This record gives sequence, C-alpha cells and structure tokens, in this order.
Amino acid sequence: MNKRSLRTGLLFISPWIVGFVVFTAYPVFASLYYSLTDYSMIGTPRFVGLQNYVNLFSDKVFLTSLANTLYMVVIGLSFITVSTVTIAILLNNRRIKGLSFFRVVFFLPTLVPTVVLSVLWIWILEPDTGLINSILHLFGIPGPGWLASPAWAKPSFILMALWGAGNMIIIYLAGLQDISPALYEAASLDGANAWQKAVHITVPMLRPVIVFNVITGLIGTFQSFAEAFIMTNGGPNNATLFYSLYLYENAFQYFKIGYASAMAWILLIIVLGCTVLLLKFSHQLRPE
Amino acid sequence: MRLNRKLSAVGMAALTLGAIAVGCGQGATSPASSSGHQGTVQITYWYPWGGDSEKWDKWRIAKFQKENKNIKINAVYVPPDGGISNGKLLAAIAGHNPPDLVITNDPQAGYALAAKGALEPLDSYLKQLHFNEADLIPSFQSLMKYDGQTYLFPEDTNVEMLYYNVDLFKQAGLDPNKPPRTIAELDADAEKLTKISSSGTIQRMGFIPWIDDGDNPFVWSWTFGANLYNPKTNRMDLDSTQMVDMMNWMGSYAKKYNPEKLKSFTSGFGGAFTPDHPFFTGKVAMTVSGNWFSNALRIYAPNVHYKVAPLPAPPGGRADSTIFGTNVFMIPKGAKHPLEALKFAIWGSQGNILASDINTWRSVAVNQSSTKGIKFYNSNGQITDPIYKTVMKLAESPKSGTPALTSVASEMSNGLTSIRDKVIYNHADPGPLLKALQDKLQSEVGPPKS
Repeated sequence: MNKRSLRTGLLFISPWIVGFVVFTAYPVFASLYYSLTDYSMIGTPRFVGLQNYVNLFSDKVFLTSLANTLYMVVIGLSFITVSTVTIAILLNNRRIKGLSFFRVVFFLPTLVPTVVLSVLWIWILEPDTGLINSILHLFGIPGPGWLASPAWAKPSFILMALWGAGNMIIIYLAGLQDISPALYEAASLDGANAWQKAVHITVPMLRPVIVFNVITGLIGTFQSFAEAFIMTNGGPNNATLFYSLYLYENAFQYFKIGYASAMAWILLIIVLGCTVLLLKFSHQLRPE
Repeated sequence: MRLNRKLSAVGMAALTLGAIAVGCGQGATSPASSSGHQGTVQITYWYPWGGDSEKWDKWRIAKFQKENKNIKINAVYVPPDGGISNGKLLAAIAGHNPPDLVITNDPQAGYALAAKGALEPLDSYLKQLHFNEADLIPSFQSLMKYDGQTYLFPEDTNVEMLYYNVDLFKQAGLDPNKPPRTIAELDADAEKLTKISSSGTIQRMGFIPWIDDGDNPFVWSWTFGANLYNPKTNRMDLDSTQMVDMMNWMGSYAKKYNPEKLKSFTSGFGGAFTPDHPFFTGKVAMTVSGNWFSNALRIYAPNVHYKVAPLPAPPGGRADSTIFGTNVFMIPKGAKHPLEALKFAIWGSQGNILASDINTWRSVAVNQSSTKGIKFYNSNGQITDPIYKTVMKLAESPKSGTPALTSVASEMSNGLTSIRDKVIYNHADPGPLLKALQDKLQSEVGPPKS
C-alpha cells in the first residue's frame, strides 16, 4: 500500500523530477566534468585534469574580477544591509506620517526590470548632465565621474543596488513586526533610550532575518551580471568586471567552456563556504 | 477513484516523456532545415542588422526566391553579430541544429569559428557553383582562408577613415584641404582645435584617439604598423615597438587632458545614430569612423560640413591604409543545405544586388565584377563622389587588410582594451603588460612554427 502510494506520488511529480534531472542535475555534473577539460563546444573535450584551476589562479584578470566581486560583497552588502535595516526601522515607526506612502515608495523600484533600471541609472549617473551631479552642482560640489571613473564605478553600482533593495526592506519590515512590543515596553520601563532599544532588542531579534537577507544578497552579488554587462561591460579599467561577467566572456566570447566551468565551480565553493561560515557565525551569536 | 488517480498519474508521466521526446526529436520540429514541398529546399539564414539594411536584405531575399523557385529562405534576425558573441551560434552548432547560412559583421569572430572547426569548408561548393575567385579584391584572400581552405565568403566591407569638421578647421586657422597625414600633424591640429574654458572644463576636443572606432584596438595598431598575429608562423607579436608607441601615444592624450575629465566629457556623448554624437554637436572636431558614418551624418547632422581622409600614420606605419570591417557569410558545420546557402551568398554579393545597400552606407563590394546601380560612379565607371573616392582608395590599397586572424581574437581585443585603460588611467608602462598578454595568448594558440 505504502509502496504503491510512493509510486503514484513519484509518477505525479515526474514532470518536476524529469525536468530537474535533465535541466539542472545533468548540467551541474556535466560542468564539473567539463571543468577538467579543454573544451570549446565544438569537437570532443580534451581531459586536462586540474589545469584550468591552476591557470585561473595565475590569471590576473580572474583575480581582478574576484577582487571586484568581493568588494561588492564586503563593502557593498554591508552598506546595503545597514541602510536597509535602518530604513525598515524608520518605516516601522508608526509616528511617521504617511507611512504606507513611504513603504510603497521604497518598494516601487523593485518592480523595475533590470535592463530598464540599468539604462535609467546610466542617465542618473551621467557625469555632466546626470541627475546626481546636477544636484551636487547646485551645492557647488563637483560630482565624480561615476561610471566613467575607475574609483567611483563600483560605488555607483552599490548606490544603484540600494535603490533597488525594496525586497530586503519588506522582509525586514515583516521581521520587525514579529518582535513583541512587550520587549520594548519592558525596556522603556527600565529606562532604555531609542538607540539602546535598537541595538539590544531590534537587531538581535532581527538576526535570523538579517542572516537570510545577507545570504540571499551574497548569492545575488556573486551572480550579478546584467547591470555590469549593460552599463559598463566591465570597464573602465576592468573596475566593474565582476565574476559572472568574466565567466560569461570566457564561455561565450572566448569559447573556453572548460575554463568557464572551472570558474563556476570555484564560485560555488566560495558561496558555499561563505554561507556555511555565516550560518555558523550567526549560530554562535544566538541569544540564549 | 483509486484507479482514476493512478491513471492520471501515469498520464502525467507519459505526457512529460512525450514532451521531452518531441522536444529532443531531431529535425521533427526544427524549422531550421525542413524540406517543404517536393523539390523545394528551405534554408535558414541568420543576419545581424535591423533598419535600412534589414529592409534591403528582405528585398534581396524576395528577389532571390523569385529567381530560384526551389529555394525558400527563412531569414532570422540574430543581433548583435549573427549570434557569435552571445554564444547562440555555437550552441546551435553544438546542438546539431545550426542555420544553413550566417552573415556576421565581425570577421575576426567568424575567423575564430573557422579556426575552432565550427564551420563548413566552402571550396568544393564554390567549385560546383563555378565561382571565379578573381572577381574578388585580392586583399581578402587571407580573411577567407584558414589552413588553406576557404571558410568565409566576403560580401562587402567597411573601411576606417578620419572624419573632420571643415568649419572648425577654418575657425582654428587650419586648411581644410590639408588634413593631417602623420601622427605628429594630427596631434598638432588636435591641439589647435581643442577648446578649454578658463575654469578648466573641456568645451571641445580636437581629437580623442579612443572614441568611436578608435575604441577598436585593431584600428590604431594596424595604422602604427603592428603585425599582431601571423597565421603562417602562428606567432603573436603584441609587444612590438609599434604597439608600445601606439599605447604611449594614447597615454599622451590622457596625460595632457586628465583621463577622468576626458571620460566624463565623452560619457555624455550619444552613439553614431543619435543626434547628440559629439561630431554632430561639434564637441569633437575629428574622429575615426567607418564609411557608414557618412549616412549617420546625412540623417542626424545634414548641416555639418565635413570631409574624410585616410588615418594619419607615424613614420614606419601603414599610411593610406585601413583595417577591413567586412561582412562575411559562413556556413556552420552540420548545415543541411550548404550548396543552396552558398548559392544565395554568391548571388547576393554581386555589385548590382548590393548597390542599394552601398548607396546607403558607402561600403565596398568585395566582388568588383559589377558596379551597376552604385550611384557614386558615373556612366564611364569613374567615381564622382569625393568620400567614395577615399573609400575605394583605401579598400584597394595593398596595405589594407584584416588583422588578428586567430582563434583568440576576442580575447586579444579585450586584453588590448584593458591595457589601454591601464595606460590611460594609471599611466602604466605598456611594455610589460603587452608582453604578459602576448605570452598568455601565445600559450593558448600553441608554440610558433619555425
């Protein structure tokens, strides 16, 4: 009887199983094999062992792309996390007038498709006539070259990511609303001020949500591709050549499928490592 | 009830398998190469252009189909270059379902495919179709052949020229009939044409080496006389004195005008097919572009008074020459109807078929057997259009050619651009960087033959 239901159940989910095996599991393992070969999609792959991995770590462009991506993860994601948590706390403050209006405003940019968002920000960041530099100009500040400047190109992307981080804000808001008001009441009775309440109640209680957002943000940042592909194509001076963009160049412009597969596996290991570390770290910090 | 559930479960599984079977069915659903009615062959043709060229190509296809009732052409728009740089073409070839014919505007990328073994050799088909190779401009031989076999069939070519603004020349006290011929003259003229306000903001640049087609690293390296790769000896030569000189020359503009200020100045520029291209608005007085730019000028800046000249070259460089930006046909490996595909390619590359496209873009038919219908010629076959005179002079120059005919052309191009950026922004010494790129690419193509 049990076996039978199992069989029926499996048959029912067979569309998903087949789809998973054919379109996900097989490509994943095939890419592991290809990462050990010299393969250009034409002809037969030639087995080269770990040569691709060895070559990668002496490839300066690869190291640049890795450094660029780590910059976005460490500096970019920290900045975005702190900013979005702060915004969420403000948006959770019932004393602010027009709260639902602001919540909509912050969420709205996430509805903009990536390509549109990228083109829009090319205009906003325009050094001479763009919105940001025009406003800075009003205050007598000469704005930087943004996407035109190797030093400012990555911060430009962080700024843009913050603008589109409405999803994170919504998740933080939901998390904030789960925190029992009794905790704040108790703290108030003990004479805690707003800052102390934020640091000692809000942030610790919000930790699982922060960890979730950081992990998904981390994966998203490591995979980010479209914005740089559209806006800068890796330039200027390789300042925005992110990991996935270089992977794409290797696979589809240089036809080095083996090399690109090796990059994909290194990316998997890095993301896996970061995620495990983060989970462990947040475990240790769990309030008793 | 139970039976019903079981039945529907089995049905679901069958449906999935059925869908996969259909999806993977070779040829059964592929529109690429199905033969229609008896005796009719359908060929799939990928092309990269929209706009006027697309309209013209559709006209060409209709005309061909009228003259060849047994061949139907299924034309598919595949930007940006016939599906090469986004991997579409290679995926189609690897999946054994390629189009029969592709035309690309990136000859180096096409050549790289030939070197990878992704294309069908054309020689036996060319013979069957009685094609006469002598009809083609000889400088295209090297582009057509890899390892002694023909893979690419050139349709028409673009050439690179210096466009300069006549009114700005006069304003700066320069003679518009004497465009710069050497790099030293170019730099001197550029300085006279540049206008910087008292507060230090750039109002006009006489010339910026790396905008427009100057951004293509093969353009200036050719003019400076570099031989980046020799297919006969399989030798890379990226760190030659010519290359170092070229990089340092670009760096000199950055040093003189502050690279970030320049980049800010240029990043507000519109593309060639927008009204705010800097050459149209007078923000740059000279620029490097292809013959097709004359059509952009006609549409967006009919009042700009301009002339063209061959790119200035340093002593020892290639004066009065150009690199070719050739549109080439190719037949992917595994194409079902190569003969019919090539028949269309050869027929469609004749001057009289290309005429209306050439009349729009001032490109050059590689097959020079007929100039009928091309409006830049008079009835005696002499060129009357001054721009087209320069175009043809460059196209027929024995010094013109196609550089970087190697399987690693895109990587070389990206690598050179990245070195140029380092020279511009970080004032880096180009020599060691070029040497490193040279060693990397040489190791990828294997050791040079002695």
